[in-house]
Formats: sequence, C-alpha cells, structure tokens
Amino acid sequence: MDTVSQLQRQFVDHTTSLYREGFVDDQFTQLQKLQDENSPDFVVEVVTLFFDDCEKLINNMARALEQQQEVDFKQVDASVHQLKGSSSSIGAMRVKNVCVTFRTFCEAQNREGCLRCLQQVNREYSLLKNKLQTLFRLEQQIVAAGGTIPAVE
Amino acid sequence: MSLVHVLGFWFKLGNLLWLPCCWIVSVISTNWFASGGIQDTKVALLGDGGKMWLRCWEKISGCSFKIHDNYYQYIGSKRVTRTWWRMLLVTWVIGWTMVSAWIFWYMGSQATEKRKEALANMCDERARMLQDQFNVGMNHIQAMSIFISIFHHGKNPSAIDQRTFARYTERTAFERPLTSGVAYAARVLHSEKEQFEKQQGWTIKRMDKLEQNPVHEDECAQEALEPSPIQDEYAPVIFAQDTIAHVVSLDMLSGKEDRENVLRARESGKGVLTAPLKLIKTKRLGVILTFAVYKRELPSNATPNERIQATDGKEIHTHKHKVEKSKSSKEENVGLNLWGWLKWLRSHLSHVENVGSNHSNAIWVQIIPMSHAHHHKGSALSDSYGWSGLQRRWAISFSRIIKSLMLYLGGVFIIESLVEKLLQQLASKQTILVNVFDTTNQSHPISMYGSNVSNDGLEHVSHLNFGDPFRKHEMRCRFTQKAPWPWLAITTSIGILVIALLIGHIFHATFNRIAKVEDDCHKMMELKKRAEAADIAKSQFLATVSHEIRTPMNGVLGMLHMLMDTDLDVTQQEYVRIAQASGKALVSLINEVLDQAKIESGKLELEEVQFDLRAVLDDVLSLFSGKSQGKGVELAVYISDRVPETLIGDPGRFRQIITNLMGNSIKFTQQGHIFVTVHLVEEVTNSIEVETESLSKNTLSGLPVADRRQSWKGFKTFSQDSSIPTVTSSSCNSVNIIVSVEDTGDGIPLEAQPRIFTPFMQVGPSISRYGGTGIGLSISKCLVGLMKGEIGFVSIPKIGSTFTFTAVFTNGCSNSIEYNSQQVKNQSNSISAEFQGMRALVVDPRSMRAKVSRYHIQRLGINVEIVADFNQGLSSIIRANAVYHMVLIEQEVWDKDLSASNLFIHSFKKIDRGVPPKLFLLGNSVSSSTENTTTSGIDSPSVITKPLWASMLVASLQRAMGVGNKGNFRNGLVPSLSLQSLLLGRKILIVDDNDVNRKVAAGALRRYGADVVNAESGAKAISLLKPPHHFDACFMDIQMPEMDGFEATRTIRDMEQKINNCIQHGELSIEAYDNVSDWHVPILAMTADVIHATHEECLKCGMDGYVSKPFEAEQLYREVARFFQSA
Repeated sequence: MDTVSQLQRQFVDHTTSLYREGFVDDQFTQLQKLQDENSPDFVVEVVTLFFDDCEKLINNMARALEQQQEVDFKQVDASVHQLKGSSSSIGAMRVKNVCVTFRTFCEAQNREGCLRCLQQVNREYSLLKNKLQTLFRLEQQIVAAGGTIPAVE
Repeated sequence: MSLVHVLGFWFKLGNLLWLPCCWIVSVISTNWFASGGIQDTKVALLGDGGKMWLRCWEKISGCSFKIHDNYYQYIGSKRVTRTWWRMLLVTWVIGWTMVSAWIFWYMGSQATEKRKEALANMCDERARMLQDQFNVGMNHIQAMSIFISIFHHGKNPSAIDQRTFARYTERTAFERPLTSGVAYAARVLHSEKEQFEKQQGWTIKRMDKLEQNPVHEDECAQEALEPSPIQDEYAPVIFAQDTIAHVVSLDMLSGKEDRENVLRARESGKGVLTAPLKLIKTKRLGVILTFAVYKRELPSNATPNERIQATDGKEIHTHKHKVEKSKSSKEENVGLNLWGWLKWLRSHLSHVENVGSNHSNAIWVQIIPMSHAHHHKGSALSDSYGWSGLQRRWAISFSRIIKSLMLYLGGVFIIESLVEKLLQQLASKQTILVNVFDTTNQSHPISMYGSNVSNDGLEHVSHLNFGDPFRKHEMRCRFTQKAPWPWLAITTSIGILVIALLIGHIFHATFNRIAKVEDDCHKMMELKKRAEAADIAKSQFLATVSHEIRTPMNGVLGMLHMLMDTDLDVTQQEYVRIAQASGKALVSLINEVLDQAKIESGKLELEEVQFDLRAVLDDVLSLFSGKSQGKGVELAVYISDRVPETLIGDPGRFRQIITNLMGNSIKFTQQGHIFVTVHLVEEVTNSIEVETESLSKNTLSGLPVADRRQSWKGFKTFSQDSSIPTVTSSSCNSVNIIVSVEDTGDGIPLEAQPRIFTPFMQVGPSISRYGGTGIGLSISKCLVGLMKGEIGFVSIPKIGSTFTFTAVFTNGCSNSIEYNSQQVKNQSNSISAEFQGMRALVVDPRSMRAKVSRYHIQRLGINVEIVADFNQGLSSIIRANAVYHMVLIEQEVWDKDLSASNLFIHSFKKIDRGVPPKLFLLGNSVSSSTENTTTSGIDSPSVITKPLWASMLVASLQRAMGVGNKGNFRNGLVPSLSLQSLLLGRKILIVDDNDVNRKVAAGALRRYGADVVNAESGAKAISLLKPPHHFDACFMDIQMPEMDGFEATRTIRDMEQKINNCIQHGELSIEAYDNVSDWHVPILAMTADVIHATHEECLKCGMDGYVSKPFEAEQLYREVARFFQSA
C-alpha cells in the first residue's frame, strides 16, 4: 500500500512538473481522457507513434540540412510542419514551440537558424521522451502494484 | 568765388542723391511715371543742369522700367531675372563710375579754367605795370633829352659840360628807376670830325672792337681803344652819367646794335629799343633805348630824311636791364653788370668830355637844333618829338643815356624795391614766375627776364608795349607751384561713387534677400507639401491598420452574435452580451482612430436615425460595468424623465462621446463613483432643484466632486439669455440635452488643463500606462461641435473632474408631452412587461443614489418608494396598503450594521402578507457581496451588482423571483453530451498524413462513439469516398503532401457531381446507389491554422466547414450538428 501511494505521489509530482515545465499542455490531458476500456494503451500507442515519427522526421531534417550546397528548405519545412502537427496533437508544447521558430527560419532559408532549431528540437524531443517514458513506467508500476492511476487536475 | 563753386556742386550732388529716391518712388507708382509727369517735374526741378541730368534720368528710368518688368517676370523666370539683375547692377555701377569720373573731370577743368584766368589777370596786371614803369622811365629820359637840348644846344656856349651832366643825371637818377645810366652822343659828320675832336680834346673811338672783345676791353685802358675809322658821320658820346663815364668819346655808330638803334631813332623820331643784347662786361641782357634830339622842330609828319637832317644829339640810349633769377644773385649780377658798364662807358666816353668842350660849337653849327619845342611841357611822348626850347649847344652834341638798374648808393635800393614791389605786390598769395621775352624775331624769342625753368603747366602771355613799334615784347607768366590737387572734385566724385555703390549694394542685398526669402519660401512649401503628404500617409496607414484589425474583430463579433442566437440562459446571455459589447467597444476604439483621420480630413458626417438614449447609456454602462465592479467604483446613470425616449441623431457618435468621457473617468478613478446625468438644457437652466442638489454634499458616493456647474460656465447656450434655448427647444422639435460625467478621480493637473482637447495629448508620461490613444477627447470635442453642442470641464486635482457637454437632437416622438406622461409605461413595455405594476422599496440613506436606483427600477414599470433606513422601511412596509414585491437594500446599509440587518430580516419575515417581498442587496462589487453573504451566515438575500441598468436588472429580478424563467441547465455539459448523441454509430473517415494526428483525431471521435476509418493520403481518401458512400462524414487535413485537402475534396465533389448527373440522366440506375440521387458527403477541413483557413476558402472547394486541430468540443459540435440530426 505504501509503495502504491508512494508511486502515486511520484506520478502526480511528475505529471505536475510536466505541465509546469511546459512539456505538455491540455491537449495531453485530452489525449489521456480518450483512453478508456476499449483502448487501454491509447496514450502509449499514440506517444510511441509520435516518438517514431519524430525520430524519422528529425533524421530527415538533419540529412537535408547537412547538404552543404543546396539545402532543400521545402522538404525541411514539410518535415517541420509534420512534426508541429504531431506535437500539437499529443500536446508536446515545447516541441511545438520550437517547431514554430523552426518554420520561420525555414521560410527565411536560414541554414544556421535551422540547424540551431534542429538541435533544440532534438533536445526537447529527448527530454520529452525521457519524461514520458518515466511517466509510463510509473503508470505500469502503479498498475502492477495494483493501484489506480490518480487523476491529475 | 570758391564758396559759390562749392555750393553749386553740393546742389548738384543733392540732385544726384535725390534721383535714386525719385526712382524708387517711381518704381512704386509706375502709372504716374508712365504719364510722364515726373519728367516734366524733373526738368523744372533740375533747372540749369537739367538737360544733362535728364539724360541720366532717362537712362535710370529706363533701368527702372526694366526692373519693373523683371519684377513681374520674376515668378515666371527666376534665373533670367537674376542675370538681368546682375547686368543691371553692373550697369548701375559702371554708369555711376562714369558719372563720377565725368564730374571729376568737369570740376577739375573748371578749376584749371579759374586758375588760368587768375594767371592771365595777374600776368596782364604785371605787364601793364611794367609797361607803365618803363614808360615812366622813358618819359624821364625824354625829359632829359629835352633838358640837354635846351641847355646844351640851346645855349652857346653850352651850359652843360660832362661834369654838370654827370651830376645832374646822378641826382635825377631816382626818377628813372629802371635806368642804369644815361649818356649823350652828338652827330658829327666826317667833315667836322677834326674840328670836333679838337674841340673835345679827344678822338672818336670806335666801339665794335670793344664789343667784340669786351673782356679784353675791360682790362685795357681807355688808350688802348682804337680811334674810329673814317666814316661819313660819327656819333661820339660827349656826356655820360658817372656810372657809365667810360663810354665818353665812343662812337655809337661804330657799335652794331647802337648804330642800328641810332639810325632808326632819328628816322622815326621816337624812342627806339634795341633787341636785348648781352652787355659787354656782364653778358647780361639789356636793352638800349635811343631817342633822337632834333636841332629844329619838325612837323609831326616829317619824313625820315628830314628827321635825319634835323638830328642833333643823336640818340638817347636806354639800356634796360632786367634782373632775373633769385634775389640774392640779382644784386651781384647787377653789380657786375654795372661794373662792366661803368668801365665800358668810361673807356668810351672819357674823351667825349674833352671833345665836347672844344668842339661843341662846331657841332652845334653843323647840326641844326630843333627850332622850337613843344608848347606843352611834360608830354614827352608826343608825336613830333620836336621839343621847344632845345638849346643849340645841346643840339650839337649827342648824348647817350644808359639805363641801369642801380647806382651805388640809394639808387640800387629804389630800383630793386620797385621791381620787387612790382612782383611782390601783384603776386597776391600765389607766387608766379614771370618771364619777359623780346619776340621781334618770332622764331627766336630772346629772354630778357626770368628763369628758363621749363614748366609745362599753365602759361599766360601778355604783350608789352614799350613804345617802340618795331620791337615786340611779351611777358610770360607761370605759377611757381604746380596746381594743387583738385580735392573738391576728388571728394565730390568719390562721394558720389560711394553713394552709388552703396545704393547698388543696398539693391543687391535687397534682391539677394528677396531671392533668399523666396527660396526659403519655396523650400517651406516643399516641406509643407511633404509634411502634408506624410500626414496623409499617416492617415492612410491608420485607416489600413484599423481595417486590418477590424476584420478579425468582425469575426469575433459575428461569432458572439451567433452564440446569442443559441439557447442560452439569462446569465449566459448577459455574458455574451458583455463580450459582444466589449468587442464592439474595441471596434469603436479602432473606429476612433479612423474618426480622427476622418475629422482631420473633414469628412466626418453624422447620421440621422432614431435611437433610444437610455438604451445607449445602458449599453455604455454594461460595457464599463466589469471594470467598475473590479475597481469597486460605483457607476451610475441618471436620465431625467423629461428627456424623450427616442431621439433622432447619431447614436453611435453620441455613444462614442459618452464612452470616451466615461472611459477616461474609469481610468483615473480608484474609488468613489462615476456618475452620468442627462438632462434637458432647460431643466438645468430653469430648475432650482438641480442647482441646490449639486450644491449640497449629497453626491453618489458621498465623496466631494467638482462642481459641474463650473464645467458649463463657458457655454454660449448658458451665457446667452436663458429664454433663447427654451424657445428654440420648445418651438421646434429639437431637443437640447446636457450630459455630465462626474467622477471622483485624480483630476487633471492644472497645467495640463488648457491642452486637454488637443489630439494625442495625454496628461503626462506617467499616464501612458493607462493606455489609450489620447485622441478621445479631441474627437469628442469635434463630435460635440458637429452636434451643435459644446463641451467643457471642471477639474480639481485629487477631487475629481466633471465633463459636461450639450448636444442638439431632434425629438423622435411626434408628441413629446403625451409621451412624457406615458413614459414609464412605455419604458416597461419596451423592456419587460412582467414586472409591470409591482412595488418596490429601496432602503438608502443617500438620496442621490436612491434617486438613481429608483430611476432604474421605475423603468421596469415598478413603483418605487425610498426610505432612509431599516426602521423607516419596516414601518412603511407595515403601513403600506399594497404589498411590496421587493425590497432593495443598499449594500452599504447592510454592511454597516449586520446585527441590524439580521434584525430587520427577522422582523421582515414576521410580516406575513401572502407572498413575502423578495430581498435584494444593491452591491458595488461582486467580491464584497459574496464575502458578506457568506460571513453573515444567515439566509442572505440575492445581490444585484451595480451598476444598474434595465436589462441587467430584469435578468437579476427574473432569476431571483422566477418570473418567466426559462429552463436552466449547466452549460458546460452541453457539448460532450450532445456530441455523443450526434456521433454515436457514425462512420467517419479521417484523412491525415500525420500518424499522430490521425490517431488523436480518431481517438477523439471514437470517444463520442463514432466508427472511424483512417486514410493517410488524399488519394486514398478519394478511393474510399466513391459513391455510393459508406461514410457519414469526412474530416480532412488540408495540408498534405502530394494532394492536399482542397484538391482531394474537389476531386471527390467532381465524382459526386458526375454520378449525380448520370443518375439524373438515367445513365446509371439509382438503385445501384441506394436510391440516393444527390450524393454529397460532408467534408470538414481540419486545420491548425484557423486564421487562414477561412470559411469561404473551404466552401470554395466544396467543403462544408472546418474544425480546428486538435478538436475543440464546442466547435466540433457546432460543425457536426449542421449535418447530423440528434440520434
């Protein structure tokens, strides 16, 4: 019981910090609400999908931006757009915000700025991944311990 | 003389100066000039020198004409005029330089003329005097000749011998100042020579040798002289003055000059002069004058031959000798000269003396003396020279008289002084050089006197007549000093030149100045144009920006409007209304900016529509209610009953003014109240009630306020006779209202008050934190002006400000009097009839506030009674015949004494009269009321938050009393519930290239019970969406690679269209398509870019609407609800 309540507290703290530090926003809450008995792993599924997607897109962009001569900014822009759409869908606010900046650099065809943003996106993405994986792990532990996942307002 | 000269010149100079003045005048008055009048005047004015000046004048006036023309051309061709001006200036300077040069020349020549004249005068004078002196001397010599003829020839034996003669001549020498010596020679024929020689005791000596070698002669003794060679006749000197005693015995006829002279003298019978000759000893120039003495009297017309025959004493020689050069050398020269002469004369005449004594008789016999002399004595120069009483003895001998300049003793002095005097006297102040020439031989004039200093200056020649017609003499005079500089001419001409240059400079400077000013003016115009252009650009910019902001604002307002159409409860409706009103206020703020631009360009026009003044004020009140509640500031509006309900005018602009004023008040008021009152102007001017009311301390919040009467002090409407506005407002349909906005804010600093109506002027930099454009008041002022009203204010720092304005509207009701009586009823009808006839009790100790409350409650058709406190309230409730439906208690009263309130409520509840009256609290702010109600712990009454306005009041009352209340359900539940009902079991296709998005969207829709199918591209969507459709709806992402949402939709719509057409034409059986002939699957766009994806764009490509991504429940519901009926 102690472990469960401890885990639950940890979970709550972690979730609050996620919101407080702006890693996720309301959309993530909405996403969590969509998870029910019919689709018990909905959030994990979506988020995993998102991470895969992210990795793919980031690699794409990195490749595109590595080109020394002609950087295909259109392609980069499309990727950023995708990323932005995905991140806003799962409520990954910080990633989304970086994407917004990224896009302006793409429009200005500023390679330096793009590279900087790419690094930022990469960092944000890694951070988020860590955080969310921790979150999911906590969830699993709670469930495994037989507790219920507390609601976070 | 010179004074007159100077005066004359200054007169001319004055004329010159006067000319430019006249010229300037003429430039000003061209017409007069053109008539030629000035020319005539000028001629008269100029007088003597007129013609010349006139020429100049014409030239100048010509110039002036040019200037005139140029001046008018100036605007057209500046450059041409400039060159003209420059030419004109150069012409002016050159012209005046020439004029001044001419003046210099003219004046100089005049001075020279004067000088010449003076010289001539002086010279003539000298010549005349010299002549006179000479003649005097000659006369004396003549007199002497007479003397000799009488005493030498007239007596026998001669009364004169050499000694006598010498003594006599010596003593009478003073009479002949110019004569140096006198000698007498006799005519001796060759036949008589011996006898004569014997008689005289010496032989006749010849003279020419002596002359040829005078120096030698000077040294040799008399004996060395050769005896005269044999001649026909001789003229030996027998007497001589002591000074020239050496000439005795010399034969005069043997000297070349003397001979000539002697011969000529006896021929003419007149005094004869030799040419100036170098004197023997001194080589000085001298002249010898010779007179002939006749033995007998000759007729005046005697022939020369006769004269020769009659000659006795042959000649009288006068040696005139002029001393020249300096005075100092003169004496010396003369001395030498005399010395030479004396020697010469002695050596020649010493023998004559002896001879004379011996042979006088013989000569006398031979030479017949003149028989009779002139009757009149002293007329020495009479024509005949036949002197009466010439002695026979004298006649035989001859004399030679030599004039000399000096004698050893006093004689030198006298002569010198005479000559000196002659020259000095006549020299006046200017010394002149005098030269005397013998010009008998014109080509070689012989200088007789004077230095030969060549002075190429002025010279005047005067002719001298010394009585010898054969000889010509002239005197040449020169000034010793050169002519002085003509200072007058120089100064005058330079002065004129300077003046002309100065005038030229003045004109030049003036022109330059004018040109500069014009240039500056042009520049200014240019700058002005640019500034105006910038201003226009600014207005343009403002307009554009305002439009840009207005477009999205319209969207917001439109949505709010749509929201109002949905089923909302009263509170919700109120919120939406507030939101809408605020949105409108924002738009109006933008409009303000536009207005300012419009006002600046003068394009603002007022509308003429019917409007409800009270509704307008309610609107404004509602707009500010949130703010005032937040601040705890009491906001109130009071409109006099006499103000008609409907007016015709521009409600928008009226509202704008009120909003501006109230907005300012709200901004600067932290506590107290803001109170808007509307009256008719007549009410204010006539009613004492208003006056006294404002005098008292009875204000809305109890805080002191600025006296609003001060704010309309300057209004014309009030300063005029008070009857006038009354007449105008009552006679026609116009309604003159006066609105005051009173606040208890910071007030306006005194120094900022004068510029409060200036655009973009805020009170201070610190005020800018309150926001605002700073143009509100200036716009208000303009608007009030357009409404034929006036605006004014009074403000006391730390107490508050009161703004007052008047406006003229037209009465909206045809019959205002009738309207007034039924106003209450009408009002209530217009808002809500449900409270009609109810009765209310207001507990409020502050009459002003109570009056406002009453005004608002009365508008609902409720009869209001006001009491000051609970006791009164209770008693009035108890006393009242009719039932009170509601009791409204001022929050202040309630909070003051909670126990009293509780007591009141207890006693209130005891009163049982059917339906108990509802209790309401009138509170200022939401927070305080809730706090109090919770703490009171008793059955707290409902709170109505101020400010009060009709619709809000109605809503509050409705809610509290349940009158006509609609069904009430919680707003928040609506979307999710109804969405579920709408989407349950629907088959929906989601098209999105983004996995995550697709998943999320699908999850969201599944949540509402929908059956979701995913498609990851537009192409796949098309393949899935082929009629007959199996989907109830499609959510399509717009931005997809390869084929975007719009294109996919278009393709789908095309397919549908084709199939529909085919079915209609029977080409395809309708059965194959589920008996549906009109295929149209709802397609909704999903986009994160709400701003760009406008509804129109979606519609254009056949979409039915759009939803934001990620989904918002409300929006999703709204869109979906359009297609799906509730399941």
